[in-house]
Amino acid sequence: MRTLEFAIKESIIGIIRNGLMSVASIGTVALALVVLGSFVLLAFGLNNAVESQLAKFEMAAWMTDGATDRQVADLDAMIRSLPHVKSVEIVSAEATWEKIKHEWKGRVNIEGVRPGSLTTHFRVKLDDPRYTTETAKAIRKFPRVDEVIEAQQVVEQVVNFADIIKLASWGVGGILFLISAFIVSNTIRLTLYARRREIRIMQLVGATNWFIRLPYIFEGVILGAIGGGIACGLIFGSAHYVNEAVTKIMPLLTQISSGLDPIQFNGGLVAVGCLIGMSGSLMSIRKFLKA
Amino acid sequence: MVQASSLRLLGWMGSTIMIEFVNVSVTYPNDIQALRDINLKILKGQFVFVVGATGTGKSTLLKLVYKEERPTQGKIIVAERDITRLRGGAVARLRRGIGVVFQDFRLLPQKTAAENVQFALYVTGASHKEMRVRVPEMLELVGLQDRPNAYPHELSGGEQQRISIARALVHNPPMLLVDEPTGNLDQDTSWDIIQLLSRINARGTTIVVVSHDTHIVDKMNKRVVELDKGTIVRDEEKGRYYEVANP
Repeated sequence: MRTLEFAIKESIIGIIRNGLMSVASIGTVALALVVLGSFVLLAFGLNNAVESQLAKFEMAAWMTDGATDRQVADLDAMIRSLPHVKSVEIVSAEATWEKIKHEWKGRVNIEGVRPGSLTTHFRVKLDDPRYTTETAKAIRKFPRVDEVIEAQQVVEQVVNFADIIKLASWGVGGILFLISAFIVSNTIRLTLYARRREIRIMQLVGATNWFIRLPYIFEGVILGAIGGGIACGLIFGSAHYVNEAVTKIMPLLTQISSGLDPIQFNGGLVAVGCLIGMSGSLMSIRKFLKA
Repeated sequence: MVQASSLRLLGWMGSTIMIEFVNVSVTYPNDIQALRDINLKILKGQFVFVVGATGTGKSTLLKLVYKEERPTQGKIIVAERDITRLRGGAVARLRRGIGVVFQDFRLLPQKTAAENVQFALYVTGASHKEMRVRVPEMLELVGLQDRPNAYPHELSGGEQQRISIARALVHNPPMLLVDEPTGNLDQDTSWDIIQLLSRINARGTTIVVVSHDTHIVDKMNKRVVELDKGTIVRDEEKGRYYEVANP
């Protein structure tokens, strides 16, 4: 009880006394966590978008322009005759254009875009996604087929992209973790220096190591937690704008959402912040308070 | 010759040794030998002066007892306990049983006299009740009961040293290690401090004083251990600062 009371009081005094350095520590922790958090959100968001948006259909076979009804019917029959084809849906160019207009007007600038590049297409679903590539290859050989877009390809690309982002977030996050921990450790070092007399006397009169160290660990954890809180605020505050920007660049990902529980996410950020702070404290303590 | 009956009595008694050095050597990494093969027994209730020129290892001797330094060789026994390999929390508990006083007092300037004494209790987890009782008791023992709220800079050197003695005694340790207590004080004040230590010794506390002060050592006429270049060259009951050839 005494230990806790002492540690909390002393750590708060330390933070206030270090003023600018405390602010700098909180700032770097916040920055590190904003970057880390954004990366995590983006990676999860991409994954989610892929699963929810693209996995709905397996592939789309677009016909060349000016195909007759007869040719459409022939192609429909040919596709249906392929093995593993579960269903085929014919969508006319007009229907597609109407759908695009309905869905995207006001969100994406489609003024001046002419529906000329749109043609009739077939939405082909398979009973087993493993045969996607094979079936797509077969359809491509049919007459009047212009292009077959496999969801699989897009899915894989986006998943790969998400993987790269995850990897990058680990790398960048790790580096930022170290940098911010280092800044925190410098701040703690200032407190240790200011308190060197007290610490000497505490050691001499027989205070335990934990009693001596706890205030500095607390100081680091508090700095880290505040940094984490600020990072949560920044990410939450900017999420809306980021979402808008992403929608403009990649309309496909309009419903981007990480699917992460906000309490878990924010709690995680603050926890990582605390971890950064604690690592920083331990770095200093190890160096200056050897038992 | 000791008679058989008294021998049995001695065997039945508890240990009378407070601090014991057994073949202790301290060698610094740069190959300088601070202490060389020290064998020394300090008995419970003794008042011992450790004298010798600067750099002969007097302070190192004290530091070994409260584990500020480690011996390179040999072992150190404090209150019947081998402390040579103590670590962590055990060191903290050992130190609560050893009062240490320094030449530069080591008081916290932003705390009052009473707060400085209380600090030693506070940081070792003492209860409020204990602090309320012990702090005034200690201030009274060192004769500063009237100035509990004075800050160190408002006190004279002698008074500051009294505060640091009060702090060293607040855990009621069986021994007090005193490193050059009078180095910063004038002669009269020094004598007052030594008188205070003497009174504390009379209450049963073992006291080891490292001192340069020939005047005080001679006047006190207590046990004197002289170090030279890291070895004990003299150990006399009722000694003087300088060896006297055939008094």
